[in-house]
Amino acid sequence: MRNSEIAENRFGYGARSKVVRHDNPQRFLLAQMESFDARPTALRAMPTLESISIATRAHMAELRKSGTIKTGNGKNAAFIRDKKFANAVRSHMRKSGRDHYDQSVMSRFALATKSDASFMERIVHFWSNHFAVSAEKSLVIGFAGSMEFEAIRPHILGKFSDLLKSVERHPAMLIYLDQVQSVGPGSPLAMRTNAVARRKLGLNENLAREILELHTLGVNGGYSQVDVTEFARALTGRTVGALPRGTIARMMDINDRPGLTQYHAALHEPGTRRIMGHSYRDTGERLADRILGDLALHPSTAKFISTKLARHFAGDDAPETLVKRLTETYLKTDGDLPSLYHVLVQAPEAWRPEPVKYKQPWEWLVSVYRGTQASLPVKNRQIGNIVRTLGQPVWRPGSPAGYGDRSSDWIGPDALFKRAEMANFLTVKLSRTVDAVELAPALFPSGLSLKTSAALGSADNRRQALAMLLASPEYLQR
Amino acid sequence: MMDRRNLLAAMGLSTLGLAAPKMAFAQTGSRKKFILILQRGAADGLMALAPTGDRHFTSARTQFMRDIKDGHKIDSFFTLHAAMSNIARLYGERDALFAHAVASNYRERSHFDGQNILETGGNSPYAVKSGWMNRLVGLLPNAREQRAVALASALPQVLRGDNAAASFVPNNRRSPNAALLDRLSDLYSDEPLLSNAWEQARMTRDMVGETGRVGPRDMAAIGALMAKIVKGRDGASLAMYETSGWDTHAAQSFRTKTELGKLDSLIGALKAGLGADWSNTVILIATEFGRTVAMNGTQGTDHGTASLAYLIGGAVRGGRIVADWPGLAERQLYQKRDLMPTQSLEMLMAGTIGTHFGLDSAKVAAQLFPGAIQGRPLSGLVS
Repeated sequence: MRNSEIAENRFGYGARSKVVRHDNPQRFLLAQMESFDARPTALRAMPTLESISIATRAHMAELRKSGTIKTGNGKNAAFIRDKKFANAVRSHMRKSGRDHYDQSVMSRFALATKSDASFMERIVHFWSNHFAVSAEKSLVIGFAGSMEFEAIRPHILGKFSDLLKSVERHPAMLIYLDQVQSVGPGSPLAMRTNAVARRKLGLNENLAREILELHTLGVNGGYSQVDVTEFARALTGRTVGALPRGTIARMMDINDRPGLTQYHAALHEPGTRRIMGHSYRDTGERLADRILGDLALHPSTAKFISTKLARHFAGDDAPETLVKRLTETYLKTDGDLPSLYHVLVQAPEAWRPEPVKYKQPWEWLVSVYRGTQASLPVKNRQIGNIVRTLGQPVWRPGSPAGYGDRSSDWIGPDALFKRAEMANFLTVKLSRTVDAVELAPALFPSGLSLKTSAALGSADNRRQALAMLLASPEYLQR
Repeated sequence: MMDRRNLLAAMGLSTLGLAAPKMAFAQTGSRKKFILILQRGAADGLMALAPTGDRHFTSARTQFMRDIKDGHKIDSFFTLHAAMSNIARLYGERDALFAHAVASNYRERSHFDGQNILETGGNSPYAVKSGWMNRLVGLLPNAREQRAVALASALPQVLRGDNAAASFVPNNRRSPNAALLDRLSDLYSDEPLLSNAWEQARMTRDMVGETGRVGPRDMAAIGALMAKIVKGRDGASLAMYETSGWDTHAAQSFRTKTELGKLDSLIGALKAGLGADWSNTVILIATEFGRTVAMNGTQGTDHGTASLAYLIGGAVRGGRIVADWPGLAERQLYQKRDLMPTQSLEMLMAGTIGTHFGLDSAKVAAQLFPGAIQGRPLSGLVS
């Protein structure tokens, strides 16, 4: 591949209909940091946390007015009403969440296929996968898009610590990793209720563990079980309006900013915390961010983030020399993300002419739509269905580790067959407007392999030729 | 309560040799079948097969006792979760064996490292590149004719490696015509990675035929499909399936019931689908690690250590619980929080696989589980 092709394919989502020859491909990529639009018009109509909250509140008012939820009599009447009410709110969020999800997936796809700064879109999606939430947890579904659009996009060109803090307070993350119900066992609320209640309130360490293991230090980053538990204690107090249940719910006002992140001192575990050798005086609400700030600057975090970036752009076996330079830059600049992107763009390791990686299903699909200038499907749900069939449903990796980032995670027998199937399906329409023999040299100006050229040349018909181009080794790799 | 030694004598390893011999089955001419079901996300063995005879269990899990009350009494000590009626019945028919307080040699609490060790057989995460099930293909007679199939999109780690293995997820999109398939075979022929994957995919599709889409929650259909893939002399000798939803940090009661119910339906459908091949089959169900003994503050449990493994199938010498019960008093727990591992999952797997396929279990252990340095392969688990 020539450098212009590499700039488009390896760093971005592929050229739109033809590779433009750039005199300075590095500058072309770096300029995208200037032109990147964190809040593009295409996303303005998307559901935001604010709009989700307002809609939920309106729904609650409606329920109250219509009297759908019966108060009943007896001494548990208020309790039962609250519980029914909370269930209705959750079910409303799930239901509206599915539409939010479809809309958001479609907008994300449209943005990526049309973008002139597709390197930056790749960066957004890289971070979105690094901070993975997964929509099979049904309440997450309506918030996942908002997390990427509101908590990640605006921070990809800042410091890692700010990105981290913004994600770890987003409701999608707090819901996904069970922070919503976590309560300090020595918190005012637990002290009041645990002596008498059957259900004891206490910690949930899921978010704390995954922040350490997956978001910052990495699994060998030097933390222990004690650090996990201490961190979980520090995080208590942080929750989401209208979502906790039981005793916690009764303490909170269900109408107070439903679906938005809140802090309640009554849930917070008091006391000094000791994490990774640092001692933290209890500063209540601000405590979590102070710890996150320190974790963001830890050398293990620098190395972990650098390795993941290098693997994503320079190949499965993240080149050590590049990881080293990225780590040094990270530590020198306190995790300044644009400085890291600079190192990446200028790294010879990332400009090797032979492909370094197989595209993930999402990457492949976006590059197909860009390369062929295919028109987007009319129904919001369709793109989501296609990537799901290809094995990579958006915001649904099924695990907080996100999707794997090695070729072997994606080129399995069935996965490859599904791509060919999809190429075959998409070309029914596409082959009316696109001729593979003309498109191939525009997208691959440095030439195709003899095998691929011969295959296109001897195809039975236009459609078969295009299907083969889209499923060719050249199109599958970057 | 029984003390540890009595319990061991009552149900444990020392009785292995005394288990009632099963009737010898007529030779069907079929190959031996081995099916692996992974529970990704750290399944709680204490909820699945509850040590209801251990008073420390009942006090640690007060709020779960309602779920366990209706379970299947296996003996005076253990209760199988109510959602597993098929498996309980198979236990009664001596086609199911439970190994409790089992763990791989991994002793940290990361799902992803834990799963990597469980799937590669290495002693540290990512130290071994290929998966043990892939290496097992190479140990079987006529390795090149053996089929190994995962019901998954990409190959799961356990099946990655130098030997041929296929992944398969049915859908209802019309397959491309044969001309395109042949042309792609040719187009990929210079690229080994693509070519191997492509040919495996085509072969599996030829073998399975038309299926239509199978929904991810339709366990009866998934079980039937797996049985179809495995069945008969030309069916796959090795198959695997991944389940998820086991990481129950919150609302464990409901979620576990759902997932165990699905697992149970899967086993039921496999048995129904396998027919005569059931007698040649061993199904192993295993997870990367267990969960804390105590409940956390959100009606769930956090990452733990030892858990439960299941061996199910006509070739299993079942109707037994294999356990060296460590006890659940605080001093008996691993790091004062988890069920203490008293058996090696790797040695359980090596012994099972060795006996089942007529291989030298020590060699199986060395080649498939080089990371497991302690213990000897367990014998007598399968016939």
